[in-house]
Amino acid sequence: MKHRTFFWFILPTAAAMLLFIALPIVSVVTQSLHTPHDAVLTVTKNCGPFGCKDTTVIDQEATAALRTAEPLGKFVGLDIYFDRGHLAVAEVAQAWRTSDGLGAFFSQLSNLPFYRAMAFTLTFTFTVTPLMLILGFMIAVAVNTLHRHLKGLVIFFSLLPMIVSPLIGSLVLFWMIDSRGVIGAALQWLFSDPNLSLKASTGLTWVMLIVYGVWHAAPFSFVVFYAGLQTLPQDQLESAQIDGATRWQRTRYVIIPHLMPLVTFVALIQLMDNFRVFEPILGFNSEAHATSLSWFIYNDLGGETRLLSSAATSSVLTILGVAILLAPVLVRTWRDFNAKV
Amino acid sequence: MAEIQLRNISKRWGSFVGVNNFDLTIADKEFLVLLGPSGCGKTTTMRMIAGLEDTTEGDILIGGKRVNDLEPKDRDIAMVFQSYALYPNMNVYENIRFPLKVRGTDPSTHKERVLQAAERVELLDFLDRKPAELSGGQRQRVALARAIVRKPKVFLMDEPLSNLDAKLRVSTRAQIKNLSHDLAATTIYVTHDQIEAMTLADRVVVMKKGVVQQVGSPTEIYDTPANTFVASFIGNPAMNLVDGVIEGGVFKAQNSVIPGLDAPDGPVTLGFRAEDANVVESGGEINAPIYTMELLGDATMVSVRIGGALVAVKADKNYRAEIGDQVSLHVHTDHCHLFDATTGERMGP
Repeated sequence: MKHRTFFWFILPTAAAMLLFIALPIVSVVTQSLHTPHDAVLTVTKNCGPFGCKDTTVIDQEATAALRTAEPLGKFVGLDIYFDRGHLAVAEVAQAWRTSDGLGAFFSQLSNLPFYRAMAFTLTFTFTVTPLMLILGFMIAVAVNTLHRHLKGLVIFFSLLPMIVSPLIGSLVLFWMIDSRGVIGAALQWLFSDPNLSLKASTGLTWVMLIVYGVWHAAPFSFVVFYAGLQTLPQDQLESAQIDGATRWQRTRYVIIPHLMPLVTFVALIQLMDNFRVFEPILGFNSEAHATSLSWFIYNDLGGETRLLSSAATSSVLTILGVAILLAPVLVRTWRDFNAKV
Repeated sequence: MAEIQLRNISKRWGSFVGVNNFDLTIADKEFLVLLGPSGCGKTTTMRMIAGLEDTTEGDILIGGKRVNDLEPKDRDIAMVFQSYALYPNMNVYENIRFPLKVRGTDPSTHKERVLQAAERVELLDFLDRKPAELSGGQRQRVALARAIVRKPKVFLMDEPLSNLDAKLRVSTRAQIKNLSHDLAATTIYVTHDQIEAMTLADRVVVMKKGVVQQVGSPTEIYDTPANTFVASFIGNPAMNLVDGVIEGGVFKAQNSVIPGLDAPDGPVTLGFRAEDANVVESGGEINAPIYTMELLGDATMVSVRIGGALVAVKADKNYRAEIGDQVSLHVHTDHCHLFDATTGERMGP
């Protein structure tokens, strides 16, 4: 394709990307470097029968005028990035100096809100993604071996977790694990502990959220892998069968290599999806034990005090996290592409 | 010892018959070719021997042992597929080594055996390449090397040359013949190409719609076809088949009067090959206008129409005439074949 033709071909897409992706990011980065103006204070002298004294009051009009004139706030550079609510550089340095060991250091780190959210987000992402890949693959292989009359029904039920809204799905599970719910009551009976509560323990809450994440995301990998299995060359499978490969060896040497491009695709999508975990935290009402980066941003933006700059900073840090997370996969895809060319 | 016995094997899917009552013993070290058009059941027969399809009826014995219930890997066979069926993620070395690896053969012997197999098919220079980086002929040779590396008792080859161009087909065919001779293994080869069948086979099985039409050596099949289907399937060009009647030992059809045939009176189909007739000045048994002329290089193919049939005769390479010119053809009656006009079955010896 000629450069000129390519330019006109790509222009609408490039313009849309600039408008809906690049500009919002620039806007968020700009906001993250500013903080709301402080209130304009005025000192007035009040004199009475007992003498005069200075009184400091907020000049509402001047404050409003300043904020209207400069709605972005005042420029503070990277101050918000380094404050306690985000990277907490000073607190981390202090923890590093005063901690006896790595365990103590990480323990102190987990008290800082951003790192607490980051810890759960990363744990969730790196646990749910491989587990949903494995579970999805197993379901796909199992469904593929079913009789064709059963396949439609099983595929429908297998896709249900993906069809249900994440918030609704997590709420359903939330009530099931309640002490009055079927899972909660069953666990109490199983462990003979009437006080056993999944919601009360941080560890169990994390496990619960991860299980929910796998349950919700596995259908996606299942449906992609199932489609991939339909394109599997039968000759290769039969050849492997005659060569002496067992079922497991056929899976390992023929089926999985055939599905690898799809594994990369699903992993890429799910890494991004899991990194922005949010709804289950709300659904499970688990903010006390587990918060994520997305929830962190939501928390800044909600409530009475809308901390726009803080939310913008968290957003930028999240974008950086996603970029770091996807870099190895993107580099590999790029290398594969170049190798083919 | 790898004699294969197929005892009345059949394959049916509902009311559709894939293979019907196939009964044959294939001798140890024999090269047997299953020949027929698409859908005749030749590949299904091979897949039943391989264990990739269950038989509906009948028994399959390899080396005297019933293998119907054995997995393909336990039948000691190797198979070469039309599509090559190479593993795209593995290089040539790994592809050839695969059967040794998955069967848990002593790893210290792998390299030597892979190199031996690769050398036999002239692939030593390509061991590091992936299948995608090979030509069609090279890929087929990888498939051959993978089949021979384990030294199985039986080789099954499913149209292995179909995807190759004409020139490569000839050289790979020679390679297969040579390999089969050297390895002295029982080989079953499926093809729809009668030239492959004639050049490779010790015996040929001609099939049609799941039924065996004739079993015999290439010469027997060529010289004494069992019916009009075999006669028209074997040979290039196919045997000329003309419908007519016998009256007092004389075959009569449109533009044709061929005397000296030993058969009872009545309708028949007469067959003769293009090389068993020649163009004469006059007085031939067939006299008709030329329908078409084809220059073959070593001969000139002259065709005339008799009734609905096209009859081709090989003339001298320098013979020239125009389409529509009257031509006289002499048919060697001792090379004529007579077939029942209704059933198409061969009449007489």
